[in-house]
Amino acid sequence: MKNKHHVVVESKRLKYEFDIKRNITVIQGDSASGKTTLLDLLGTHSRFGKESGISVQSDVPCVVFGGDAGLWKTILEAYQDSIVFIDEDYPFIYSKDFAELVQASSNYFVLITRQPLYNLPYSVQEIYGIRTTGKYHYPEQVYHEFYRIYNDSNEALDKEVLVLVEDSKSGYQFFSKACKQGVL
Amino acid sequence: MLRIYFGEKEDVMHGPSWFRFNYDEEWLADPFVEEMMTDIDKSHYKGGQLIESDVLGPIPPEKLSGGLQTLICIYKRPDLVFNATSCGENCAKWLIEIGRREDITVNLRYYMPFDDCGDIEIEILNENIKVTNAKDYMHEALKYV
Repeated sequence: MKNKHHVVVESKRLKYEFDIKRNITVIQGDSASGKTTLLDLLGTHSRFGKESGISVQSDVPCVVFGGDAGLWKTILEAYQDSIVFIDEDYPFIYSKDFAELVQASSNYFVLITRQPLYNLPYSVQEIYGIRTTGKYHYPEQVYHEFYRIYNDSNEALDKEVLVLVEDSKSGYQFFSKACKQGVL
Repeated sequence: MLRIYFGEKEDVMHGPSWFRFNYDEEWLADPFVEEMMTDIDKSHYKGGQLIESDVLGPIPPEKLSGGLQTLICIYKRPDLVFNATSCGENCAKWLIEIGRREDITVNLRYYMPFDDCGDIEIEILNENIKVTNAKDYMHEALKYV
């Protein structure tokens, strides 16, 4: 699966709209921002479809991992070319086995977690929080959107920087080039 | 006092699951719990099993956020150790406040900043070190997460 996928999840009272751009997206941020509610909506829609009163607009299937955590590998391998949402309650997302499955998978993964994922290569730009816009006037619909938790920084360093790398091959080559280009 | 063990630890409770199946209805009427509920979940306890959420409308206690459910468990069951990783950064000041009222021990698996929480007193159990300001806390916490 490639490219960006625009997803709109909507019920009478709640609307979520966001883009999933890479194979690994992390959602974290404040409590009560609507992370679990988003998964509830997607999970309910997966189960009951349109009859749930929830609409999901996406060019690829959006599924929520659920069920027996002991069978996570079997379940995840059954999904193809989908966006798979996984809540933070599943410790397997921190494992090396999961990282290997993600690398070989045709799916995109959206992981809800505050805990660092040391085994997965993910972009700092694909770490999002969820925020609501406007004021709450129940029962009017509340709109949720993703925002980048770590924004680009253009702050210039005011000191000389010495970069040490522990290897003479790829790490050295990468940082040599990056330093010459003034990226660091 | 608030005691924190950073990193993976066994025998810690998962707050949201524990709350959903073990909470006591009278906990919700506790003024301190109501204060946390208003601040974090923008919700208000109405009695019985009814909570009114500004976003979701009428909800049962099971639909409170995982962070708030965990905080309530930490406050009401200080004899147990809960995984406070379910609590977002907006729970930090409340965790500190609970620590001022009760002796509590929590497990944290991410860096929760306590920058705007006033005076803090935290014992970091990984090294049995006590920190009393946010900067010292940061230096200690980042060793483990």
